[in-house]
Amino acid sequence: MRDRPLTAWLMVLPAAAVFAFYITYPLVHTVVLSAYSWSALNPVRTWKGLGNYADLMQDPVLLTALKNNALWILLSLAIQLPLAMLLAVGIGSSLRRHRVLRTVFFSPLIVPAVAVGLIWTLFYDPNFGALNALIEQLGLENLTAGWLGDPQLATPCIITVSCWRYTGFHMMILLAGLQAIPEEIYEAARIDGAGAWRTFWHVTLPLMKRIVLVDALLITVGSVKIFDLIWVMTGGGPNHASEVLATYMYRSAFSDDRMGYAAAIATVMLALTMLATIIYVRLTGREEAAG
Amino acid sequence: MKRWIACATVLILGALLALSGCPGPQQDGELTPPRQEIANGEQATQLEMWTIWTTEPRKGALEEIVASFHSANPDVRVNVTDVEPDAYKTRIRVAVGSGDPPDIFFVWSGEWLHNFVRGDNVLPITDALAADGNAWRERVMGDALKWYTFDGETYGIPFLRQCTFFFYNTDLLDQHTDGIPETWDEFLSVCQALQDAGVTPLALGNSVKWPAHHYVSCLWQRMIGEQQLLEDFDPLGPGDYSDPGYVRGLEMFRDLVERGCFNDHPNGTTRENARALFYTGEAAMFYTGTWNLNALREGGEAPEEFHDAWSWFNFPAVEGGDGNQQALHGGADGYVISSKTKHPDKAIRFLKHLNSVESARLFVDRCKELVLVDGSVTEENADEHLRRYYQQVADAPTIVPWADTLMERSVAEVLLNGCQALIEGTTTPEQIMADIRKRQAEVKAELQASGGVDLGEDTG
Repeated sequence: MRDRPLTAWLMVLPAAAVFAFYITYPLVHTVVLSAYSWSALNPVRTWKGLGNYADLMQDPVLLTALKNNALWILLSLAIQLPLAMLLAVGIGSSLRRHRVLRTVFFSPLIVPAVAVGLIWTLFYDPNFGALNALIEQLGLENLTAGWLGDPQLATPCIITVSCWRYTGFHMMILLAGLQAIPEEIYEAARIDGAGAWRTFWHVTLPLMKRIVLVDALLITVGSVKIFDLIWVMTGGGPNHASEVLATYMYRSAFSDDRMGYAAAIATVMLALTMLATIIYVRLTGREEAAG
Repeated sequence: MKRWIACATVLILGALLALSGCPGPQQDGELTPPRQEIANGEQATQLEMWTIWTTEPRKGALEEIVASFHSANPDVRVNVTDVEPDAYKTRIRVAVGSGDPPDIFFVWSGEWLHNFVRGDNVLPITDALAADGNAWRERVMGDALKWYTFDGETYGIPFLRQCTFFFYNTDLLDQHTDGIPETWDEFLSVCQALQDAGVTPLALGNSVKWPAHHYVSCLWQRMIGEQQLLEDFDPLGPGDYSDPGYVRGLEMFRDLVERGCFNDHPNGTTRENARALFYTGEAAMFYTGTWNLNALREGGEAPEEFHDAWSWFNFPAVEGGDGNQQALHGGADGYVISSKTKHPDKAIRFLKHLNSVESARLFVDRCKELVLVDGSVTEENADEHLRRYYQQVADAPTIVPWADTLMERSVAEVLLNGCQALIEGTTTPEQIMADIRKRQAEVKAELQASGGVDLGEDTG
């Protein structure tokens, strides 16, 4: 094959064509569109150059959205990764009760996001919701809040729901990594007198590094793209307080009818996702070179 | 044993698949068979119609109206596609923008419709309305057609009328107050009396962020007047939001918030839960739309003891205001014909049928909602609430749409977000108006730069 590059190229062609048509073209097209000002209802596109980006730089909502996306990444990583690891190690065996528990922890993922959002919206409701009722029952009246209606609390409240929904999924991914570790290594560690904590810290974690990185990347990219739960629960409100890039993009395109502006926001998202991917590739690349 | 279960499961799944694969009479929201030969062998003209009426009873009522149209017009078939409202907003814009729109489609009145008209996407039906001595035009109630008219041409028909009123708990108001307030000052003292009695005066569920703006919208209409509002709302109009009534209206709303007239945390409360606060007697009044009539009356979600314990009054007058103090506030959903349709005459024929007294009465009977046709609501097909509402609409000097439906969309967003922030106390009325003026100037610049758009020219 190495001697016949043409054949090799021909064999790659179908995949490359599909990739170009479904991935590259829309990406490039989005970037091109971000240089125009236009509405979905009117075919006239006005050239705006970098004008949309200049507007974006001055838009306080973009700053809020970026801050919120950062909060999403940080909190999701800080909560989901350790929790998923704990669950994977804790209930990873083939015992029946562990299997049942794994199903329970995984089940939120198979409920549609809209249903999850609505259920939790009821839970957080300030007047009839279970959360404020619970807090009042505990005699802590001054801790009741507007939750989703509170600009400071809205984003953390939705991130909590996201963690509830996705931790089981990440547990499954980590579990797959755990099961790939040969039993002999654990036996060797036991013979050497390592306790549970040392075994985890010096055997399990180093061998899981790759899969943990992959999982961290999934969480990061998922947090950059997060849309559904926020849209259902707050719509980005109140007053943009829980807005993230994806909701602001959707709002700009389909509520405000500013298609070019939305394309500019999409381009910012694209740049951020690519940055995360490059960092990840670097990290795993170094890993491979070292290993 | 296990094998048995497996076999049974496979069989059941297989049967289900086979059944779901069978071509039933109704698929994918299509209410009628897509094609049908008519008697003389000629193919009937196919008209595509898009609606947001995905649920009963509206869906079934439309089905009946289409069926009666078919029997009177065998040369036309109307294929109805129903799309859930949120998805519809996107889908219809994509369909219209890509040049392949349905022949007849649903619209919300105001800027939403105006936007389609500016892009030259809607067929004017002015002549058809004027035919037979204005017969059709006169059938439409009140001044509803005014909001479907731009630059002298009328585009489509308003069909369903929704208005907002102060719904109130008759027991609580009788017990604690001096009666129905007619002016804003009286309204404030009613609120005070209720608060003194330990009752929350007003239920507000603002998580979707437009309910709070209804207060502001009505106050603006009362103080500034609809003519000035329209001049300011039009991004290419002569107005610039300089009337002091704008800031004043926002201040009066903030005043309600600061007095503690609303339930706790309105921004975290859904519309449904605000309604529940009202019908459980937690809150005495609820400023909301007539879309809640069916939830409050017999057969709705409100508890039985509440069915006779509510009524409504119009938004109070503001002393010294420039607007019509008797005006109602509301919108009118309707239908328009695409300017790209190949069968304008047949589409108009269907619209006329939909807008006939017979169709309107049928719709009112099935759905208990107000259809904007003279004589649509009768003793036979409606209860006293609907009849009273119908009479109010018939007697109203004018019905002014809500601000967020008239303002350019991105400018309206600034107002809606501003109202949420006002509730949280994180902004001021002056700041909101400054933001609105800024966004309006940007929109104006963009519209002028793109040329043609405001003139409705099809430059594509």
